[in-house]
Amino acid sequence: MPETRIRLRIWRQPAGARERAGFETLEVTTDPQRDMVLDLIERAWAEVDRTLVFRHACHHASCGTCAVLVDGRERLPCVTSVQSVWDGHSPLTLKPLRNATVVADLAIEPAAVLAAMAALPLPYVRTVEREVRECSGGDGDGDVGTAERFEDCLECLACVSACTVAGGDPDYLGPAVLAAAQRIVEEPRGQDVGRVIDMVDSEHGVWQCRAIWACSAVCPSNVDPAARIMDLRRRLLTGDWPAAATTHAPAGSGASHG
Amino acid sequence: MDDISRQVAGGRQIGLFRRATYWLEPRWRDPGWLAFAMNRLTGVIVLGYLVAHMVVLSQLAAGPSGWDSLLATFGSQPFLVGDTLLIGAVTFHALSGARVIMLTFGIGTRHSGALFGLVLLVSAGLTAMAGWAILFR
Amino acid sequence: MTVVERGEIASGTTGRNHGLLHSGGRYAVKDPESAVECIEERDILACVAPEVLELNGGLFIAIEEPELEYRDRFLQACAQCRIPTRELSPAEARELEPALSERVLAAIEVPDGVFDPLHLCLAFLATARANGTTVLPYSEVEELVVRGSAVEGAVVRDRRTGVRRTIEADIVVNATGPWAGRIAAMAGLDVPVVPTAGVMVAVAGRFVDRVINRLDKPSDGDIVLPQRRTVVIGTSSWPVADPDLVAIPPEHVALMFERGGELVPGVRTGVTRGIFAASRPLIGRPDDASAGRELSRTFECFDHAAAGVPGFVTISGGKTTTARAMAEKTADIVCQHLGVAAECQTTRTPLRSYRDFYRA
Repeated sequence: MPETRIRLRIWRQPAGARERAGFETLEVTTDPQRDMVLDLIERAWAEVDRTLVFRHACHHASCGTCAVLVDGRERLPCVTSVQSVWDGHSPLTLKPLRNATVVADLAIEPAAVLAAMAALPLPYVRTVEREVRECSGGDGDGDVGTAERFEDCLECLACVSACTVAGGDPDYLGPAVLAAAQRIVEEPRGQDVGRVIDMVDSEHGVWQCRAIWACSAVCPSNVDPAARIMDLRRRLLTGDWPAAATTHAPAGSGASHG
Repeated sequence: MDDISRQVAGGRQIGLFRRATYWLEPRWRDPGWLAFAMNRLTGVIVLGYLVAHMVVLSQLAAGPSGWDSLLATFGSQPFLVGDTLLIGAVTFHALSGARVIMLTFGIGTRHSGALFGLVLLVSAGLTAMAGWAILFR
Repeated sequence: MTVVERGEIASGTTGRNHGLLHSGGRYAVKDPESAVECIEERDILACVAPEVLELNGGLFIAIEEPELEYRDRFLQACAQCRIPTRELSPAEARELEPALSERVLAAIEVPDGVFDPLHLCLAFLATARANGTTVLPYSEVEELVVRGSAVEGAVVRDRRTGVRRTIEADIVVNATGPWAGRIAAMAGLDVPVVPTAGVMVAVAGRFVDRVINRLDKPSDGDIVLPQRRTVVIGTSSWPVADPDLVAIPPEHVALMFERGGELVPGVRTGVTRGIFAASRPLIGRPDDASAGRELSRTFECFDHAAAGVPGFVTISGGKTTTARAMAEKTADIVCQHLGVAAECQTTRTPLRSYRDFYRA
């Protein structure tokens, strides 16, 4: 596709100060078919305005740092192609995530939610039945055993941003933390499930969710927090959670290092 | 308040006004938000109607003549339109509530947006039928 | 101790690598020094930071006849570097990884692993913070403080607020990867680091759980590895002048699909999730760089006191797998200058959880 110019309407918020916040329009060149939105942000920084502050690391949706609002919707710009969100002529609006402390411009501070995740704590690695077959088109169905796999959740906080309830209740644990809690109940890996259950069984925990489902709609990593919150509710009502773990935690379970 | 809630809050403060009105912040691309906001609005409307209804019923104590003239007012065009809208609110709220119950029990979770569309369609249809019956028959 | 980082943690080259925890097999034949570093560090990381690693192993597979000749040299070289290997029949390999090409002629299992770069970096920095280090993200070094011939600090601008301040330091360590030359130039020094970019492509679908390598000398597009529900194909190699913004050559992208598809055919028809490039710091001179890949992947520590500029040390080259070893060598030099006689503990100190990085 031929290159063309695109206007980026980017939120600027120096030093995270609300009083000085506002939109600025920067223009860069793009090949809408090849470029990802993150490429545009990076280009705007490199070629137009080096004072632009934004978060990014992996550029392939494994770190979750680049999450922003693209035209009002939570996305990971590193895997969002320009042509999938741009109509070809209007400016593309970029804002930082909602319900988070803005560090500057598009960058947010994830500390609060991550501290809560650490309090659970959700181990980063899980052991799964091998799911390789779903993509391989392979033959035979022998048991291919188990493999280690990172948790789907990137801790990108898109779900927290999308959650209307989190917008009104800062104490609400939120979809990220609740989904993580459900993962622990589902696969304990040596964690104290009873303690996690106590943490989420509160008015600011699972019971605050209003089934809006925005979190699952924007999650870029197949976590489906809304369904997990409902699963936690079901478990709380029926008493369905594993008793105190007696199994030995596998290596990589993330048991606290002190 | 729990430690973990305190951690998530991270010192964020939200004023009383925002706490009351946050849910009205529009997210037009998000069917989930629309469903939630409409559910709340219709809920408020239905509650308001319930109170009004009680007030009206209390007029029974005023005797037959007062009551009859009240009912005559309520039979006029504007009020009948209002009735239709009220039926719309009640119908939507009931169907929307059913949708939330389904989602909470894990039914149809992959189609939450489509379910909302269905709720809108059926409510609109039923309301239109009721409106026709009230206004034109 | 203060760590200064221009953007978010891992927003430079380290964040953007594909996340291969090297067993060293890739380097055993042509670059045994790198290979030995890799297997040692791989074992250390598996011990101190299992939380941020997927340790499912890796396979080196031969697709074409000529590659079978490489197999013997490979096995021998790995044995010499003490990299454990296990040869599998093509059928066994395809049973373990059904998405592999049908043309597998030979397969060798090695202890490769996968990490996600950001969280590994955060785990290191969380541990550093717990030990008293200050980490300043979004802070850009604008100048080095040079008094006489010695480097005595840096002028840093906090990009969030625009505020500049001077940080006085006994020793300044330049660990900026491909930007090492740019920073060293601030002290009037020249370091032989060539920013060498490489393209990677992420395709939707977790086709494999193990790292799949081509059983041959290193070449473009010879690695396919899983990152959550995608696979990443990498990589290519060409020197660039400015690591800040790398224009991605479309022919490299096409090459990734072609070569990656030879290992795991499914990627050819997969949905592209991301196309990105990162600049590795290769030790060498631009005139050596025409061979790109031929430059050693090992690391080097430059103590500029020897060049008459005390108080300044550059560490560059290497790969994420050997980051700890790089830090150890650098710390040894720094301790020597500061007269600190401490024993290295990082080979056996478990890293803290990456989430602790954000703790107040």
